[in-house]
Formats: sequence, C-alpha cells, structure tokens
Amino acid sequence: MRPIDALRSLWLLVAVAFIGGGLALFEYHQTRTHQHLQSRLNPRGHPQLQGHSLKELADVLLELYPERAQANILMGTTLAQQGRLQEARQHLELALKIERRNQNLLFLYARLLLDMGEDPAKVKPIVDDLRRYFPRSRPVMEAYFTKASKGQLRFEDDSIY
Amino acid sequence: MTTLTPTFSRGYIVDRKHDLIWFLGLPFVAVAAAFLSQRHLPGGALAAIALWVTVPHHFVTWLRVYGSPAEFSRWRERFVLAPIALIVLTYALLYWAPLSLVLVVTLWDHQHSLMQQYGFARVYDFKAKAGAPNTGKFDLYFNWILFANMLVVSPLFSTIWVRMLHEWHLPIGADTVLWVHRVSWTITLVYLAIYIGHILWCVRRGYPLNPLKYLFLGASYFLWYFTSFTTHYLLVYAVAHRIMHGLQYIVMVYFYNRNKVERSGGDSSLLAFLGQAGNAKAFLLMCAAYALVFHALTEGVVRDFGFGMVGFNSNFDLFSYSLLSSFALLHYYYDSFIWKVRKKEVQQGL
Repeated sequence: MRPIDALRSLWLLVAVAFIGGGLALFEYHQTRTHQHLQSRLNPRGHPQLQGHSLKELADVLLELYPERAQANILMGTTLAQQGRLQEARQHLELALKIERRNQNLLFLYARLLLDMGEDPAKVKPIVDDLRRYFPRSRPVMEAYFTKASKGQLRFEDDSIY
Repeated sequence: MTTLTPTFSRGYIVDRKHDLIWFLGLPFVAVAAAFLSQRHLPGGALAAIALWVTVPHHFVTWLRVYGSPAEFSRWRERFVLAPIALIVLTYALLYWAPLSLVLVVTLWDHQHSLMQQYGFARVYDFKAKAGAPNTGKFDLYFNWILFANMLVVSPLFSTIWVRMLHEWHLPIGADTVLWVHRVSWTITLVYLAIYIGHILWCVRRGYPLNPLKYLFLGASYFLWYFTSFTTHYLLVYAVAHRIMHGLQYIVMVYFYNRNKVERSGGDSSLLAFLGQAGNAKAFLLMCAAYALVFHALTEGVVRDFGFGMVGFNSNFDLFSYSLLSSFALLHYYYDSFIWKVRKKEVQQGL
C-alpha cells in the first residue's frame, strides 16, 4: 500500500490525533495563563477548579439548579475554602439530603465537621457511609480520618456491613 | 378526501422473542436496575457494570475483527496501527493534558452511543425492507438531534458541560445556558415535526414502515431522557446506559456471527465454533475471561506476575489506567467503519 493510500485509510485516526494534539495545546495555554486548576494529587486524578473559577461555577449552577446536589457541593466546597464553614455546612447538608451516596460529598462533609470541632460521634456515621458505599478506598479513608481526628475516630469494627 | 393508510412491514434484528427481550424490553429493565443499584448497591456498582458488561462488549469487537481473517485483511493497516496510535495518544494525554483526554473520550463515547442506536434502526428497516431511500438520513439526524438535545438541556448533563467549560476557562453565565437550552429545544421540536412529516410522506408514497424501529427508538430515548432528567446521580444514567448499550451490542455481534456461520460456514474455526447454536455459553465464558484479564491488566495486578520485570515503576500504573480509555477509543474507532449496513459483507450477517 502506498503511503498516501494508508493515510487516506487512516484519516479518522489522523484526525483524532490532530484534535487531541490541538486540544492539548489549548489546555496547556489555558491552564498556564489562568492558573485556575489545582495540581493533580496523582496522575489518575481529574484536575479540580480552584479559587475564583470554582466560585464562578458554583454561582452559575446554583442559579440554574438550586435543588441539585452538584451545585450545592460546589458551593459548599468554595465556601469551605474561604473559611465560611457554617454557610458551607448548610449547602453540604442540603446536598446530602438529595444525594447521600456521593464519595466526594461525604468526604467533604466529614472533613468540614472535624474542622468545625464537632463531636467525633457525629462525624463517625458519615465516615462509616464512606466506608460502606466505597469499600475500595476504605483503608485510605480510615487512615485519613484517624489522623485528621487526632486518633479520636477509630475503625476497628466491621459492623458497617 | 383521501385517507392515509400506512403499510406496515415487520422485520426483526434477531427474531420476535429476542427483539422483545433485548431491544424493546431491555431499556426499561436497565432503568429499573439502575434505580435499584442507586438505592441498594455501593458506589462500586458502576465498576461492576463496566467489568461485566462494558469490557466484554469491547471484547466482542476484537473477536469480530481479529478473529476473522477476512475482516482483518479488509482493513489490515487500521487494525495494526490503531491500537499502537491510540494507546500512545491516550497515555500522552492522560499524562500531559487530562482535560483533553476526558473531552475526546466523552464526546466520542456519546457519538458512538447514538450511532449504535442509529445503526440498529437501519438494521430494522433493512430487515423489513421498510422506509424510503432517504429515510436513513432522517433517522441519522433524528438520533443526532435528540441525543444532542438530551446532553444540552438535561439537568444532569447541563451540570457536566457547564463545569467542563469552566474547567477549560471558558466560563458561561446562567442566562446563556438558558438561552442555549431554548435554542436546543426549538431545533429538536422543529426536527421532530419534520421527522413526523417524513413518516407521513412515506405513507403517502406507499413506502412501508417498520413499527418495531419506532418502538426501539422510543425505548432507547425513554432510557436516556428519563434517567438524565429524573436523577441527580450520574451513576443511574451510566448504569442504565451501559446495560442497554453493552448488552445490545453483545447480542448483536453474537447473532451476526451466528448468521454468518450458518450462511457461509464462518471464516475461522474459532468463529465457526462460537457461531454454532448451543455454544452461547462458550461465547459468554470467553467474554467473562477477557473481562477478568482486562481487569487484572488495568488494575496493575500484572505486576504481581512479572518477577519484578514488569510494572516496577509508577509509569506502569498510569499505563494500566490509560488502557481503560484507549481500549474504549479503539472500540469507537473500529465501530465507526465495521458496521456499515449498506456493505454486502455486513449484510451477510444481519
């Protein structure tokens, strides 16, 4: 097969490579210019918005869908980042009423309660939900919350199942 | 005054019983399963669906193209070069430009999903010898417009695309989003009127209609619209969609191969064996075995078998992870050209 015929046959593949490359260049430009994304904690992770960009998105989604979990999670996250913990809590609690099985939400809420100095007995059921619904990350979560609560939260039993 | 009396011509993808189960009934079962999984299963439910349905549905594509010498020789350069190119591209994007990878995979996945339902709709008309010569075009636009509208206007997907725009630092305000919704609904409703007009035109011109095609499209769009409008949880949509998409594809390939074997003997001993009536269990066992091997590969378990020679650094983890996306892209790519209903060699298996 002549190279030109091969190229013709592979046109879609070539197009995908060009589109992927073009997008990558644009992504590089946007992230370098605006610095609106957090650094990834690991290469498998998805880049998360931060600062003003996160607040902007949360405002838009909350205006569009005030009763949806995602909008409230984002607003709770941005308020927590600003140190407005009581307001953040209201949004996260509303989100929890709508969507109890969201890993990110359960983690944020448990972390927020600890930051607000809540009784560990109130935090434990939230972390237990995390352990129950997301068993793959259970050891990591247990280690994290044991450390974050300075040993007040312990996870020795398997009674969550 | 003349009355329009439609002529119906029934044609099935497989047969009456299998179509009722897999193509007309399955979307409703999938929706029920998705809502039950949300209520009763842990968050890992989606991973299980991916392992037992989505991964095997990729496998049957490999079986079709690499298990058939005739199929392989038809597009040899694509089947050799595409895996290398897409694995390299995916790994590079995952490493340097993760947003780009998510965008490419997401958009191609949606296009692939709607084109599968379009393809099955074409098979319905092909089997029933129904519709006018230009009905295919109307079906194509129908699928593009209805699916795109679902992505644009549903609360579930609006949240996602608005977030993606912000991640790309292309922020959009709430007013603009609502305006986009209105435009999308307008286009969709106008096109639905045109589509109905085309059906009436077919009736007037005496072209037969296959009612099963319309029931099939109705069931598919019920699943997509119902889950994306009624749930807050992407898991519900994803579970329902993956069950419908993956199982319908596996059923299609199984019967496609079986028809080919019955009609021409099959062009490899493996496909001839799998295509014999009564060997469905062997077919399913192969799918399950592939799912387990793929899971081991993508979870980095291969390292445990490698005597320290394989997977000894963190790049291997990333490579393993990138296979999830690269195999999906490969599946979308192959499906874009191996299922043309107008091709004689494809018609042989329908």
